[in-house]
Amino acid sequence: MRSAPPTPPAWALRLVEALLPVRDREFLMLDLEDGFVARRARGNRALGWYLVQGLHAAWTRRRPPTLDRESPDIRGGAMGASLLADLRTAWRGLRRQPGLSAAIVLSLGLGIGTASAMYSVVQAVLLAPLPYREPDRLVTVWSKWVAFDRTWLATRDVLDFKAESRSIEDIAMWSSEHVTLTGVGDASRLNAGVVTANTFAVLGVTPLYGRLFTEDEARDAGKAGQTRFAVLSYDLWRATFGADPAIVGRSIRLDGQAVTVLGVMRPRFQLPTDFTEDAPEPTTLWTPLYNDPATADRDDHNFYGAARLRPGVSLGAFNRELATLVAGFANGYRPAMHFTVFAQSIDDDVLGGVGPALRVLLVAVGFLLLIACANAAALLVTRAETRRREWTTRVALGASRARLLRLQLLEGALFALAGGTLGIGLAFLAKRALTAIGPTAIPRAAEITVDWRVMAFMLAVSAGAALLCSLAPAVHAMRLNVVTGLKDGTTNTSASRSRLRLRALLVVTQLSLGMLLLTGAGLMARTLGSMRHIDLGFEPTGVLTARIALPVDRYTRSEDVNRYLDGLAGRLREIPGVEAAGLIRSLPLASTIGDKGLFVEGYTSPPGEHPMGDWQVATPGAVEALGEHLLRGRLFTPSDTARAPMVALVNETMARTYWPGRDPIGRRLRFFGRNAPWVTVVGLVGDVRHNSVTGAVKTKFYLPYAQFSAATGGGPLTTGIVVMRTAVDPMTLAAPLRAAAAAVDPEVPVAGTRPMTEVVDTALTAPRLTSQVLGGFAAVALLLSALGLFSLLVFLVTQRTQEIGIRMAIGASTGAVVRFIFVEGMRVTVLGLTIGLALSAMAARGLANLLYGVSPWDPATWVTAPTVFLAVAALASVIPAFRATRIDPLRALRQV
Amino acid sequence: MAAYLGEFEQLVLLAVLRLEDGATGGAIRDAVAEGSRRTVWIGAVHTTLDRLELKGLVRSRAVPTPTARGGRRKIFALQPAGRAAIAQAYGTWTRMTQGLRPELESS
Repeated sequence: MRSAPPTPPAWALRLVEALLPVRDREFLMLDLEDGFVARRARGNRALGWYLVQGLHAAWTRRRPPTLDRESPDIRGGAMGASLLADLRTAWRGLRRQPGLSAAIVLSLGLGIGTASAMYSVVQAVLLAPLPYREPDRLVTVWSKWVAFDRTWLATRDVLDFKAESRSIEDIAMWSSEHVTLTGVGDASRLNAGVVTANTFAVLGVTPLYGRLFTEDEARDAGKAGQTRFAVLSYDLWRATFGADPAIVGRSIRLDGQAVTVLGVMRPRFQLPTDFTEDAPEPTTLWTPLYNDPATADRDDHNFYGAARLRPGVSLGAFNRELATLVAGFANGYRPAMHFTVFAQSIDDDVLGGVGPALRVLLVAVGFLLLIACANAAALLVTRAETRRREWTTRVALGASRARLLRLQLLEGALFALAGGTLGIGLAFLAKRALTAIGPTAIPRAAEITVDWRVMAFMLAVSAGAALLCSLAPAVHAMRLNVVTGLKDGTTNTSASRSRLRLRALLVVTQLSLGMLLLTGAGLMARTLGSMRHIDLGFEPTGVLTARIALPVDRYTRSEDVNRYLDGLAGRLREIPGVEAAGLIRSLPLASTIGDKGLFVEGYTSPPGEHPMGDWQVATPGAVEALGEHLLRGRLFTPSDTARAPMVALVNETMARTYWPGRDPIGRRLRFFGRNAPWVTVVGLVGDVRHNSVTGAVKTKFYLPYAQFSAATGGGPLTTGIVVMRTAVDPMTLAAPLRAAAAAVDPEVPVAGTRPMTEVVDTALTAPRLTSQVLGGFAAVALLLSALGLFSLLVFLVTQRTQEIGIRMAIGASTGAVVRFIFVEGMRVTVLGLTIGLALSAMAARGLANLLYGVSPWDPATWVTAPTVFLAVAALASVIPAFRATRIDPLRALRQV
Repeated sequence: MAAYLGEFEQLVLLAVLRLEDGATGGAIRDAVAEGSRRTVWIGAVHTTLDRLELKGLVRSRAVPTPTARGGRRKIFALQPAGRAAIAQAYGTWTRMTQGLRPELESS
């Protein structure tokens, strides 16, 4: 017995039936069903065929809807069919005025594209959670005292917090050091995190392969005869060890010593400090650190700290507890130093200054999007105006207003769709431009992608934009007056006057938001300018920098280090084009510099305080290469050897602090807490902005590399930054530098070669990002508002053709006509300008913490921005005004 | 002089001729798809049939279906003018291909 022939499922039948036009429905349904049955009987895929054929037929069999056909459809309630028809009508409407449509799509695309690009940055940098478990319970912990707003923790403090704090589950600490990896390809210099065993647990991360070290292993790792351990980062494991999981348990050579690989971390894992501290070179492997209670100290501020709050404990509560705890161990701290410890949310810590900048930019791009929507809406109102006759005819012939409303919304949706598509392309371009501004200095810039979240955002924005910009014309569609509309399409009816008012309102919105962006951009540009004009104390142009690190297993003695440095200095001086070269411990603006306690001969500090100084170490030629200014005395020379008398340079702030009004040359100082020898000051150098461009300059002294070990009583300094000055492009020195270094000792890696100008640029990322991006936004906003004003006036001229014609016929001069239109433009402009300035005044206060060296009421900005704005608006008004004079009075009169 | 036919019109007319009493839109679509070995849209077939009917080349009538669902099928049949038009097209085709057979079949 045969079963009944299978038919398409009921939903497919209903769908196709709803879509097919009435006149064809009966036959086509049967035809399609026959086809379905036949294909199913042959074993072919039938349902897909059925649906595609059905949809295609519904499309091709729709006659272009005309009024006599469309009404029965609506009454028949065939929503699907009429929707299709409306889409086609909307599409044809779009194509009928290609110029206007292109302007609308471009405007929306510009807005949607920039908004999405900005959102992709914000998504990656601000919104995406950091790669830790429950990052909102994670805080970083810092010391703070008179000289430092934010500095490292001391080991004893960490132990005490761990034992006594009730707010936290645990506290971890770490620092970083450079190690040289040998035995795998060329010797490479890596940044290693030295971390307490609980660091991974506090951050809430687990390894991809292998395991992590325990507290006991960390304690024993450094001891003689015990194995050393390391955990590798995912990137290092892939790049250097070929992603071989068998690396776990094997031995690698770090600084010449055998180290066992315990595990490999997951992709994207970094220490919190890797997002900011020396970001171009994050730590790529982690070795154990043990905080030994036997040797822990309150003065060794050398460690970063992170703690995990107990569930439900707020950051504020932890900070209050920290203050109490620190007050409790006051015996260790001199009160006048105002020593305290504070915690900060990990998000704030990682984002630093970029967070507020990005928030401002996100708000700004929102305004830009609004301007774009207002522009598109204004253009849509124009379109609606030119089609008023068509529409009133439709209403008169029986089209329902609801349908017209839907048609208008559909048009908006089509525009938004096209604009959104354009926006995707623009978003990719803009994203590239944004990341180019701060590839290394925006934390997490590498994570910026245009992914599904950005696409979803873009979709939502497009939908919102569609609704927003078709709303105004749609509301007008509802208010059509059939009788006056049919009587005459062009005369000054009340409807068209209110339309004009609506358009003027939209243009005022654009102008005021444009003014706001322009003021903001102006203030940020002034900030960047004033930061650029800060005297850094050195001359970055023409300087090449690179890091070197001597393998510590072979360079344990001061003499070896000095011999290497002499050898390198000799080679560097031989490179053609090098004007000065040397090695410096800490590069200004690239890494922060710490301070050491001092005895200053003949200086009595106020009670409870102690002289301090940032310690810089340099070889002869390094201070010259950086272009720091020698004010008195001399700089270091090759004769300042380890055996020669100990010498030092001091900066102006140091001289002013410890020898006010006196000559610092010949004064002596020595280091605090050790039986260090006296060091004589031989030179006074200008202040250098070391830790940041805008921060206060602190007391600072310089020691020669050759004398460092003897002056401080410690081991030799085996790392440093090569600085070389040349008159040509500094990057041309990169290859000769590597050759010179290899000639002295091939096992010393040269890393991070970059011009000093790049270092300075990176330090200026936040203001550069805000001022350049905001500047871009302001330019687009200005362009869009000018276009809006322009088209408003063109519209006005067409609206008033008759009036202008009559005026001209009864003797109005060209000047009078120009004035008439121009004054209209200026009225709208001044209104927008006033509102925009009021908005700017409100926003300026919010910008204040991003500004530097510029008051929020900076007169230059508040004069220049409105002037530029007025000039552009005037330009946009003049053209339509002159167009008005070309109206032929005779033709205009004939229309009356 | 009979009416001029486009290529797709010729295919549709040939299908109608071939199908005799069973020339529904769906059957015509199948026949054209099979003969021409390309994707044929039912909507396009009906649009062509509408045009052919307007030109007076085919005629359609509604026939109730025997199925349970009911409804009527549209059955198409050739009009004398249609017969003449397709015959003329065939004549043209035959004359133009005369002697070219080896050439056409080899390529």
